[in-house]
Amino acid sequence: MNNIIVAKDLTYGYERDTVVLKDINLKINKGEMIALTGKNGSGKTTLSKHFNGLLKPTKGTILVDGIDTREETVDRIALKVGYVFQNPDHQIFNDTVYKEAAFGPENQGLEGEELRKRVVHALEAVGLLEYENIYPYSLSKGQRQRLSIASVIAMNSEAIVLDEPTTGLDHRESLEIMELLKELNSEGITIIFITHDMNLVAKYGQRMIVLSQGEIIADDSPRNIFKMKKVIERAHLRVPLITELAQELEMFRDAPLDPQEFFQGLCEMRRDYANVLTS
Amino acid sequence: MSSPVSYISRDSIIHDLHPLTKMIASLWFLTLGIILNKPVYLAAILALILVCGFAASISREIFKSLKSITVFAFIIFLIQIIFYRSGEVAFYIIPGANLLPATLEGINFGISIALRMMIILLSFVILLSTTQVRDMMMVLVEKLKIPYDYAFMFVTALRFIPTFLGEVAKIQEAQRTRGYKVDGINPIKKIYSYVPIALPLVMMSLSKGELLALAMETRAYGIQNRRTYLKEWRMGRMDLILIIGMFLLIVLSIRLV
Amino acid sequence: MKEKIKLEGVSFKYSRRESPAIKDICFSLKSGEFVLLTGPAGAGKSTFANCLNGVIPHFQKGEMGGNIYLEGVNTKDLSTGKIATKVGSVFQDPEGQIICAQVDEEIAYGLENLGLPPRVIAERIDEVLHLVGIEDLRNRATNTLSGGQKQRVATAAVLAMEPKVLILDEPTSELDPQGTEQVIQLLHRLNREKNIAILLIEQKVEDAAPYADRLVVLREGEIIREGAPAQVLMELSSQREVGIEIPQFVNLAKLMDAKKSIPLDILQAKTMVRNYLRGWEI
Repeated sequence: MNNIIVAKDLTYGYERDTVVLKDINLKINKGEMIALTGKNGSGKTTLSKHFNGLLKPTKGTILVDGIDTREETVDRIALKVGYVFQNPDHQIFNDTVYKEAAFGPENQGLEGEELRKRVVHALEAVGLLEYENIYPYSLSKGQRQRLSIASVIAMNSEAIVLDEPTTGLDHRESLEIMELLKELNSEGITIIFITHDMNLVAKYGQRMIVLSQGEIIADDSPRNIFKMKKVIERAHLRVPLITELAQELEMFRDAPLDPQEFFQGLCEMRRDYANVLTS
Repeated sequence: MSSPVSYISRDSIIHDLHPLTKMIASLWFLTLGIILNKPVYLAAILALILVCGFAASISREIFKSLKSITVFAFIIFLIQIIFYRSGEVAFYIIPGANLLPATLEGINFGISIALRMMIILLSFVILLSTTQVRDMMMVLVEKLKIPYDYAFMFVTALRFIPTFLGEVAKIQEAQRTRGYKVDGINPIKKIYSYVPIALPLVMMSLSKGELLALAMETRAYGIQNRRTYLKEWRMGRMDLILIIGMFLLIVLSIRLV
Repeated sequence: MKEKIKLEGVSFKYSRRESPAIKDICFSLKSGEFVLLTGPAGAGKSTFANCLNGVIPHFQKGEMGGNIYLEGVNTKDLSTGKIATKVGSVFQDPEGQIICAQVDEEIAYGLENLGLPPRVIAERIDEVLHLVGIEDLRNRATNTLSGGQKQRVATAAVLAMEPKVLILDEPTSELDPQGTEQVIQLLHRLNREKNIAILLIEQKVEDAAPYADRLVVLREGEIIREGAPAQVLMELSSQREVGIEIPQFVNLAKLMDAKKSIPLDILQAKTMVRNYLRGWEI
């Protein structure tokens, strides 16, 4: 079974007259790192909550690792797909970092040596092991966000969904979180992150899904999607400034995603230009 | 959105009335509902309330709440006729076996009680949908000399209810994905199992409270002894007419009883 | 230019903390100036802001050193109410800083506290709703607004008190790109059209830097760099451990070894690239 998530004609509406998600068809393979984007109210959080059974489709189906979410409880599905909410302070309640990370696996019935091993592994992965006996609220916001990631890792999920994991963090903390996700991904964990930050999408998204008014309007690599002017406009996204610069200059065949790429392209152009002049 | 009865912003004569007039009117309807007991009179009062709802141009919303209130009133009516034993039997609720007799008096009484319920509930629905809580509070501060700080605290608490409900929903969702369940029948265990919800909420509330204090402080809270209000309500001619009218009708209805 | 606010060797240590949050800060905000303040989490940015809006020394418990002057008067000698009429504050949490249930009430709140006559309050509400461009929100319940709308309402509520200085503590941190742009554009306009001095604390340096006259970088409670945004960012781009966002155009300029002008917006960047291709000095 290679797909972690398969959505088929998924429709979701809070009430009869408002449909929040419309006919979503989506396959996510194990081991992918996906950026889920779209403006506020486009349905990205609602869709992501279907990935671990927090919400169930009103029509259509969603299979998580082959299991229909309507036939299982959230805590069972959470074994497959973990969810990290935007604000870590919505879940922290224990008096030590260790206990906080142990809450999920304990609820799964783990205890003793095995529990300890899992929690230590999770805290190590996010770089918080040295703080295991510390009061969680004395950590910085970025560290608290990493703690909430650790408490999901400790549940041994195959995939992790993160709702705007870098919101409210400073630049360095944001990059730390993203590097952590990249590392988890390289260990085989599927990562799905919601974000507005196109610089992060360009840097960390292998695949990008764009939602607008409850529908998927693009599903491709960031590089390709940044070229789709209509999609970008419809979803109210803004491509990275460097990409926009390249597009406005109309000199690049393939719009670069970061300053380094831009500069390389520019050097080649200048060389070609010089060659033309000398020949 | 946040509560079943909340202020509906419209332009209407009822909205423009002094909050005090509307508060008196609600009490007036309540009093009439209690002292009158003939279904005909009560029905007339109910009709008057519906006219008020219409005048407030919230008839659609009123009919919506009327629907659920009617169901409620009907249940009360049924209970009354089942338990009302004295008087002439009109019919049996289970006819074949002559079980559960309904008496004429019981029916009469049941209708009155049901109508009373509807009068009291609907009049408060109209009061709350046409008058903002802060306006009622301001009236209490100005006319009944309740200290401003207490009134302000109350209004602000109401303002934060939807915020906190939203926070609770988010916290519950977050804990649910970590396999959290409220367990067992054991009451002590049950209380303990609310900690994962309660603690984050308390921490959030503390920081929200701190920020609110900061926001108030930087907006000159409490620097003047005499604070003004954006909306200063004055008793208009309409208010006086209504209050006098209501007074006369009360006197009349006492004669009727 | 006239100095609106001046900090002279200001330090502040929160009670029950071991080390001070800010140390020996010297800073001034001039009339009509737009200053961008950034720095990593825990650098003391909020403490800095609270020194400018009177929360320190009047409200926050702790030990303060040095002097803070507002239009030449030591803020120790001014009441918070008095300071509030001169310095407006907007905070990070869009929801938590809104006091009232309805937008017009929220804007009226500060004015009511000042004891202004209702007629004047009503006029001011009209003015600021227009100024901020949110006339359509007047009768909305505040808890139904989006984050960007809430921040603009909060700004309007502060503007109604007609301050000459606005202090904004990470107002866009919980907003999406659209909300962020709306807020930053609004600040830019207020600064240009109304000559309001602005101190904007912001992580999103790339979005805000083009509009700032000056960039101040705070780290571990101290000002480590201060000056024209492009120059400061260029200097910092070669340092790995500063922990602030370096705009992509600045990084590009560094790769291209630009000396003359460092671009912050797309127009400047275009000029730089064109000149570079022409082999001109950049």
